Amino acid sequence: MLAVLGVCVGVAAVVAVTAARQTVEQSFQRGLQALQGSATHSLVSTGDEISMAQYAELRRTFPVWPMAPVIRERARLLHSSGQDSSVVNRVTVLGLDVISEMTFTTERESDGGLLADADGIDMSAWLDGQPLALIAPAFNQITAGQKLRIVWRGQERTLSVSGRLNPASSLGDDVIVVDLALASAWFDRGGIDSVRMQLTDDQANLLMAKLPAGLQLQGADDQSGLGAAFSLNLVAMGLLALLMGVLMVFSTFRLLLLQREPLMRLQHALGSSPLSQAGDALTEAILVGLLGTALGLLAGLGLAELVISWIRQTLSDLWVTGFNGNVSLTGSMLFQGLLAGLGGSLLAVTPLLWRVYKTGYRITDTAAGKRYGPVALAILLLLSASGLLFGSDRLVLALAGLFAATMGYLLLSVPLLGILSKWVRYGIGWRRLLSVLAARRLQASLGHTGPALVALILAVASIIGIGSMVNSFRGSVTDWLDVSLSASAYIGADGQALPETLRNQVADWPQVGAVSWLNTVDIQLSGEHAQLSIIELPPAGQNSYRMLDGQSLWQIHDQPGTAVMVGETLAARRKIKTGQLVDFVIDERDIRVTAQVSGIFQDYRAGPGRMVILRGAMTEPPAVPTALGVYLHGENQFEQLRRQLDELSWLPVEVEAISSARVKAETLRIFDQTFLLTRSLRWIVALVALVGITGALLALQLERQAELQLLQRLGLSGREQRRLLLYEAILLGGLAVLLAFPLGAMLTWLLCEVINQRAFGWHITARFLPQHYLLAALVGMLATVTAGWLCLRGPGSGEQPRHSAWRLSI
Amino acid sequence: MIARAAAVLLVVLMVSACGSSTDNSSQSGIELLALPAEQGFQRADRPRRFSFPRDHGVHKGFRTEWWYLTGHLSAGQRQFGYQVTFFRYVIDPAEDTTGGWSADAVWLAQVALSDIENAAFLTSEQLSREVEGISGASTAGLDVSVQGWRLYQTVKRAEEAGEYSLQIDADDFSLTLNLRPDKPLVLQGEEGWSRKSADDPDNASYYYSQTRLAANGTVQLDGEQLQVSGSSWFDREWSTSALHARQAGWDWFAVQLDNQHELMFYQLRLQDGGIDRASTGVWVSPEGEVKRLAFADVQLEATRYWQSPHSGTRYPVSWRMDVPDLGLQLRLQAVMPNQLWRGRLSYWEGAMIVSGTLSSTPVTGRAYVELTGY
Repeated sequence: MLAVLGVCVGVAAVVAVTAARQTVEQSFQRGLQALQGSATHSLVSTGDEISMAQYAELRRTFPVWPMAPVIRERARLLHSSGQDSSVVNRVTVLGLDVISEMTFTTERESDGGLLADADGIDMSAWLDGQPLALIAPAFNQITAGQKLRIVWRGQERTLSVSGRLNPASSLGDDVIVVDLALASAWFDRGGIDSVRMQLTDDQANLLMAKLPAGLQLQGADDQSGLGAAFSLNLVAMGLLALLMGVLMVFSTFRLLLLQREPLMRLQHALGSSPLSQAGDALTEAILVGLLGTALGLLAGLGLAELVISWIRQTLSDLWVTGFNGNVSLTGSMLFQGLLAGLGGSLLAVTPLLWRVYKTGYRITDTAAGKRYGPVALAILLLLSASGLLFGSDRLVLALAGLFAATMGYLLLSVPLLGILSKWVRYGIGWRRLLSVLAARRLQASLGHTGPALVALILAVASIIGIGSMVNSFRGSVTDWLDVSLSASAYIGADGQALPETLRNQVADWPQVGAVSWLNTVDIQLSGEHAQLSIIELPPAGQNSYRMLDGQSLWQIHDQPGTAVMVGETLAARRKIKTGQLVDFVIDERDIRVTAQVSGIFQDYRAGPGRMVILRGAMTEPPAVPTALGVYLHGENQFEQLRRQLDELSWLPVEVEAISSARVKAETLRIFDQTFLLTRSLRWIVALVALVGITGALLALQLERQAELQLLQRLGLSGREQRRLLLYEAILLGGLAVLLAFPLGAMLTWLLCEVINQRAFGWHITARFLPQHYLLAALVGMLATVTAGWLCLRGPGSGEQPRHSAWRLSI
Repeated sequence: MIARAAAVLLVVLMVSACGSSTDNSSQSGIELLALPAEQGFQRADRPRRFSFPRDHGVHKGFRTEWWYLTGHLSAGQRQFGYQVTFFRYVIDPAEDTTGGWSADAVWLAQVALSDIENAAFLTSEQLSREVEGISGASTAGLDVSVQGWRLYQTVKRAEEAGEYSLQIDADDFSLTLNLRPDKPLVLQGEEGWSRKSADDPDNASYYYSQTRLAANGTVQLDGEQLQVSGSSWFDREWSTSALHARQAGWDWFAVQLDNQHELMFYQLRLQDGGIDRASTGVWVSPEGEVKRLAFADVQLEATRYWQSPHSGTRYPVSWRMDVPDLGLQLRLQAVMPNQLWRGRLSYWEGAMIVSGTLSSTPVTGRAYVELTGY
């Protein structure tokens, strides 16, 4: 029974982490697909827009490919709400072609597209040019049939609400959809902003080969940097859970065989052949492994469901589209469950049976501390890990290195536990008999409890490692935001050019101390897409780039030649170093620039990566900005700034202001929600560790029945027996926690400084925060003390021990 | 002819029910085709004088219009059937003057290829709003295009269709054909005015056919480019209200005999199981002489059915057709049973082989048959 429970717990740990990860990721992908309306790619112009002629040529060249044109503009929405007759919202108006959207397909149905299942499209009326709109579900105060007033560049238009976008395919909280022709006429557009496309990889490659100059194909399904980081770190956590699961199953079978050792000797004496016994043991291992795996799969799915239900609402809030993930068994979960359950069982049984056969039915090897094989293997693994982690920049090798380093450390931890328990015994001295006895028993039992203890060490270390990694990541992002968002507020027009006169006007407002100037353009850097930020910063903003290497542009402004700073993600991806010369072409104007890299700056932005150049360093700088940074005298003057901007009716674009505080708060909110699952899954690890170590201690306790009987005969009272067990549990937990600390720190460092850096190019400073160590210590001690307490209440705790043959039946 | 009515249904359903999920295969769709004419549309309510090549072009005042090609192609021993439809559905009859993305019409183009050797039925379709340079048709003559699929006149001759060129690049295959008319145009019904209901004279269309064209070109399939040749059939029709709500479906036959005779006949099936008396056809001699066939002239009997494994619907894939006045007895048999268009609408449309006797003389040939409303 305990064996089945042990396998079940190990498998449950693996399956729970994988199931929760896959469920959330699948829902994330569905949300992404809904957001993009089944599109896989987006075609954009490197200039202002895609002309009708370009779109027509594309449409004729690739007739049957699903593609849909999009016009996008920001505007102000005026509508009545209760007593307030002039509520103003900033909205994104999307002009879509309802016909083209229908040609997109999803896995489930033929009509995908952004308008799938939208409520209230009368296509005849839409195509007939009537001013109708679909609104995002978030506009819950607006009803169908209501008139909306849209203000764009000072011109006011009236729309009638014909329906609502489906919540499941929401494009965002601030979106209003109108027909493409209406958007084209209202926004005075000859062309379109983008073409959404649903392409296979082959089609995308074909299109890339034929793409005319000025057009650029982008993958629409690229995850945001944060989303990808979330996935990667959960993969790492899944690997650790798999290792923990295998260890638990291994521990379970080792204990089972130890209990069988006398019976096997007896059977051998009675004439049973080693082959027959091995066959019986293997059959049992397979049966127990399968039963435990089946139960573990169910338990794992249940645990995953539990965690998902805790965070369901938060995930819904995060992905807007509504989180509708349900936990279900997949092939990979089944494989991992079988690998941990059945594979772990066979892995444990096979070498032990061989040992039984070779050593005359003696499994126990109390001289664990003198065995050099595991130590040698551990050193070998650690050396391999170093090679894998630092000998290449490939992510998969880094993950393998993480796995190998963890395995190596865990192998070392058993002899280390033996040494530590010996020191403890010497430290206690002979005066405290029970404590010494507990330490001796612990040392002597390491051959039996080793794998379970190792699993506990791994669980405690994972709690430290994962928790510290998330906090380190968050801390680094917070620091970066604090430094980067040096202005009080930012003014932009959805990437469109702002009039230069706006900068002058804003700078003249009394509450404004200074104004920075920014224009971001697309560039081609050795044939790959990147971005160039052309900036002009006041002295107050010149510390807004944290240099990881080299010098900032202001530090070298008096040096001759053109210089750029490179963001760390771009630098990591393109292996750009300080001092190197880079050649790039500014797409829009086909200007070729050669510049020297002055330094690498910290940059957590998602996207293609960017470089920064001073506006004054360019021979042909752009004439107008795309964004302005405003340095206010007081933070409470932001609302006044926004009101003043709203009153600028002469502006040819719809400008918006956003405060730095809001940018920071929103970024961190998304960060916290994204990593909520990661944090929550740590508790699954803790729970599994608790159950696993309890099972191991309980089995050990049963194994020690004869020893306890002897101690009882020697005068050890029941109370003293219980104290002995408790001391043993505390000692076990304490040593396990002690050994988990370095492993936790190692995991934190590897995840922050190697895995994430290798995957995304982000420089995350590992932070070793004491609260994670304290929490992990509490969990580790709680697990062992609870296990000890359960043992006290278990069948071996009575004053009258049962017959020793009882244990043979386990 | 009404073959394209399946396409009509598709677009009508789409335009009237976008965003809702429908199992259109279970609807006859007749009532949708029989929508009362809306204000502003012209009606096919009397015979008219045809003028070519102008009438090969689009007629913007009518609600629906289509261009339709079927044919039988061979590349050595390999045989193909094909059908291509360009369908235009007008939303606003008023002339559009705004240009740009503004569209008053929607285009649907469908293509099907019956790969007889491999028993494969390949289909593809395109939907598009009418936008200059992307989808549209000339008003001066034959030049129709829907997102790169194009049917146009290459050699113009007065009063005739000239030669056509067809270019289709579909999902799984492409089809490029030159089509040369071998016979004069045939005006269907009363000099091109084709009534579709015995009960309601308002339900009619303008309808003419090119009953035999020599086809040459290429079929590209599975990475292989095949030189093909064969014969084709070209239909043109436009209307504002064509069918009556009492009608349940139709069976349409375009037969090309090897002795250079052609026969077109459609029977309109009523909801009560009867046949509408407006069902009609033509018999075309090798010299291009046309004999009208009335409802009572043609006896049709389905002799074998094929059941769709998807919907369970049974479609008649073998027919017996007798025209006693002509001494014509034909057997039509599908070249392969599964030539079912599956999508928002399900309808069977495919190639058949023909055998029989004409005045007791054995004849053979090929046919294209459309079966809807099953």
